[in-house]
Amino acid sequence: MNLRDQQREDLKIIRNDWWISVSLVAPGGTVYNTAAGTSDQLLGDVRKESEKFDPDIGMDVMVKKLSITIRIDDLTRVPLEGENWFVSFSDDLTDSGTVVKYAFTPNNVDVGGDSMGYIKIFPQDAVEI
Amino acid sequence: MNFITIKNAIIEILETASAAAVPADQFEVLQTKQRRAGSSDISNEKKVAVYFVGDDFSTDTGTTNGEVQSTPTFRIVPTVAASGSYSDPDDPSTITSAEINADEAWDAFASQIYLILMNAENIDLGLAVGTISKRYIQNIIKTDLAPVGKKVVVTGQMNLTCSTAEPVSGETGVTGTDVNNNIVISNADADEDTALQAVTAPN
Repeated sequence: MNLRDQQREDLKIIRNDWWISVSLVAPGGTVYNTAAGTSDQLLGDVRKESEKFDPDIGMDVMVKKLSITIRIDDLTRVPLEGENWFVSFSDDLTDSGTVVKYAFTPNNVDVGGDSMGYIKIFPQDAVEI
Repeated sequence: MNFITIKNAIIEILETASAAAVPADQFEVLQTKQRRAGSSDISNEKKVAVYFVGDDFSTDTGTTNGEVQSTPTFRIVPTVAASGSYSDPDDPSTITSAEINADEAWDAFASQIYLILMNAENIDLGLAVGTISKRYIQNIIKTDLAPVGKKVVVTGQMNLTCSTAEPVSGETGVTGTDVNNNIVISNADADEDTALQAVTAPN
């Protein structure tokens, strides 16, 4: 097993021990809440962090960054550019908290990790109007 | 110095306009240069920061004493944050991205601030007539968006400049002596003859 395969196997272990259930809704309303080809819950590594942004106006803006890492092999359908999706998960990052819904847009999908077998998305707050 | 008075006048105008606006158009005026602002706090209420950035003084030789003409510049920083929106909770294709909502919100907010400050009624910024002149907003600049974040923050700046006479005080050092420089000019013929004779006498 080469290092890349080893890293993918390690990611599975981390996923099972650390990640939480997430649910994706594709354009048109199709819901994906299980790992592809299984009845297991679809899992994602949800992180909430703060990040400093300097807009060059003489002061910094602190933004709350939300990111979710998901194994590509677990996805029945990979989000494509030009699509808007919903993602839902427990707001307190446990499996028993209140489920909240966010939106993410294709230009926020970080494809930089796909060589390691995962994608990272950056959801945004969204409100119903 | 005058720039302090003028900055406070700008803040007063903006606060008064915000208080008179409908709730959706109200905003908070930050009275100083901020070190940091949070996107959630901004999202709850639009904010505009006002601060003094610099002053240019006339270097004419006639201004070494007394009032000095100057053109202070103030930075007006409107900032908004927005979430995405959707009309059907079961269909993500109805999503309008936070980038679009934030961009539109900033355009409207910047327009609101510009129209308040450049309103003809505010030509003197509420100060005594003659305190300032030629007040104008030189430019409006929208900055880049933060690349990630639950909310999209859009900010930018307007630079407002005006002209004012800066009074200076203090002793100049030496009290001058009075000199009587009255000159009596007569157009009587006798006097003119005398003057002519005086000039021509050596001949």
